[in-house]
Amino acid sequence: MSLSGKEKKEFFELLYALREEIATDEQVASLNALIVSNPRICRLYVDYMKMCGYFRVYQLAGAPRTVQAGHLDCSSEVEHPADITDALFWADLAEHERTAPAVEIPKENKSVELITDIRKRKAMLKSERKKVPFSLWVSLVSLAAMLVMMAYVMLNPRVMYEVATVSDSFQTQWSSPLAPQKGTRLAASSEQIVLHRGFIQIETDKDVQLFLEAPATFRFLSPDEVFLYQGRLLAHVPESGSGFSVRTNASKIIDLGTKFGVYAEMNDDTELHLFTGQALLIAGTRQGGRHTAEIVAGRAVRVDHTGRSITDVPLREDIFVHGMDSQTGFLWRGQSEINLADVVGGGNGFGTGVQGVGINPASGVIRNAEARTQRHSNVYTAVESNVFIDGVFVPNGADKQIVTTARHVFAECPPTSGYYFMDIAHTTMARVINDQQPYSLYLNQTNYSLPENPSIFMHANTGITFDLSQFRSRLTETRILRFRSEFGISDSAPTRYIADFWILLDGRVRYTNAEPMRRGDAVDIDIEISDQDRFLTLMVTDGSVHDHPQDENAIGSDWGVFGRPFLILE
Amino acid sequence: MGEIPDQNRSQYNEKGSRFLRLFASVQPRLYGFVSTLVFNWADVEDVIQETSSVMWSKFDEFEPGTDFIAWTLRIAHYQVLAFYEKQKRQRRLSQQAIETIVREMMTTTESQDDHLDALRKCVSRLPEKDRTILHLRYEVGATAKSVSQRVGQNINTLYKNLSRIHTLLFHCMHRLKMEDHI
Repeated sequence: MSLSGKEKKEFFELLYALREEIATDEQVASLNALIVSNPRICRLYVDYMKMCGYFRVYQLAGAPRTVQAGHLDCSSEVEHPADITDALFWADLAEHERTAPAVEIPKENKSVELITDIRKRKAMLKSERKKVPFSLWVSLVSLAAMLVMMAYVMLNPRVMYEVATVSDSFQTQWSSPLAPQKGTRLAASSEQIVLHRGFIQIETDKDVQLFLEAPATFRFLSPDEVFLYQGRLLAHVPESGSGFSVRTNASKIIDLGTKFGVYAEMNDDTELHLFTGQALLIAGTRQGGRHTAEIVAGRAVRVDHTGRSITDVPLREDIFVHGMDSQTGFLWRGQSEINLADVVGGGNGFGTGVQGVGINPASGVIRNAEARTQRHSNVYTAVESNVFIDGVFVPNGADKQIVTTARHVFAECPPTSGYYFMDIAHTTMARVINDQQPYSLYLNQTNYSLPENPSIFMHANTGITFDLSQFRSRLTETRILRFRSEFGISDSAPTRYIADFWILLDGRVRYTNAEPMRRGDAVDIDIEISDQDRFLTLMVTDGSVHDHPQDENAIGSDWGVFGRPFLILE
Repeated sequence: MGEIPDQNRSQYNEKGSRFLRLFASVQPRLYGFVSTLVFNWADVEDVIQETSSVMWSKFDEFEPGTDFIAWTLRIAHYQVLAFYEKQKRQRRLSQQAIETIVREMMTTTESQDDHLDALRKCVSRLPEKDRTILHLRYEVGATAKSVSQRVGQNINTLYKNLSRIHTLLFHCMHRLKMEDHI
């Protein structure tokens, strides 16, 4: 049997009809039979469909095109040109057709009964009304069962498996029936969770850390996928959780080992900010079409609500929460510095402290900074009310000076008068005995009593130790690299007495002034901090070891200022 | 938390880069494979998306130096079957036909680059109007209806023209294959 030109044309039309999903059942049945029975037809089919797939990739990769608006005059159909008939190919195919066993293609039985007898017709209609085919009954019962099941699932949306745990929540307010708290287990569910206010931290069962900020609406689809309808989400994805996906109305982001932020806006635009690693962005919808882009670290893109447009936008860390701790109000937005003056003021290093608040170096009490000449032993006092401050002390060098709750000893502590005057304070003004007027603190003409120039005021003889591990435990995927500050004796000190200052790490001296410091002297400090260093101690002593008598006058005008004292993060 | 240690972080990023490179190298073949079994383009994209997810999650199981294409197509095959499970009413090909097609696909060796090159040449030989219609039809999100409206043809005429264009392309590629043994 050889195929006529018409049959060849019909064959290719059938293939294209299948591609366009308009082939009839009979056509598909016959094609199925041919594919199975005729290897050459199978090969032909495969090559044709593969060609379509390759063209799809060719098009997606940005093939050159000459697409024009408006109507095209393609109304005339071109018959198959003679040269497209590959004689060898069709001869080969025809030979196979001749020798291959016959293939039975089921044919539909069509018979029409002509009804002429009206009584017979009426009886037939009556019986048709009464008779319900068994298959229809089965379908109805199945449909009813399915409806019952659907109703059950819809009314019981929590009939799903658990996939994540709320690990922290801060100032939260919910607008959904589900109002998760710390420790709540979350399930993959059709029920949306609506965070009206506040922040929440979630850990999935595959160790993925998620930080969400209100207003946010989301739900888990599976342990590996969350749908963010609206809001901001930051994901830390370790190796165990790779492949984790965030879906929005306009896109899907598949992680390839990353830290990324997703912002789903109310208008269904989506922003993806890639901080580390890589991700696959699949933009678009089933209806509108999809395309895929690889996004690497350092890049941020915006996908419009149709999913068709992907544009670059500035990368921003600060619009996402990267770490949190509800107990301390710690909310880290990827800032690169922790302000230790803010910590002295009762804060967490990111602006929650209060200017003018200080810590008494003898009692460890946090209060509005007070000034009064006192003498105290050098006992180390833990500060319980701020987790970031390990403790405070009044150094006197009389016996070994403990400088941390881990009992590190500052062996080189010089002898001092043992007096102190003022609380260790956050960006404050200095006081003078018997003088009501406060004095601004200056170093190199910078006013360190203004909020824009944060400072720690440390009048001799005082010491304070910060616990770096408390910061580290709240900062994910980053490290503390350095301590930087400007230090000196305020220019506004009334007299020119001398003082010494010290910076210790785990009790070991990392920096001290080479010469006694006097009013107006200022130095820039930049100290490297290793991952093993836990305690940072700042200390100012009265310099009496150099020349003054060790009495209460020794601390006069020892206005030590640590200007812009920052921990620098990676 | 499962934090990636510093010394592993660069290895992890390198793994991602390696995966993307390999995936990009087989993407045309993958599209070709899935297109023989799934016809709606949105469904094709879905299956490819699922395939890429599974490939990444199992990437550690892939032995470097072995046949990445074969590994990819095996995963794609299972994803197509999973798609059919979910979309029973949409399956047109019989189980036997699917098995026959998959066998044919798995045993065929071909050069992707040569195929794409041939396709490029054949597309360039099409009359400009045919090329336009073809590109419009393959645009992301396009439907036959939307294209028919754009070009001002009724849909049946459009189907006939697209069928003709595909046939032209097919025979052109077949001829080049015979000439160049691709």
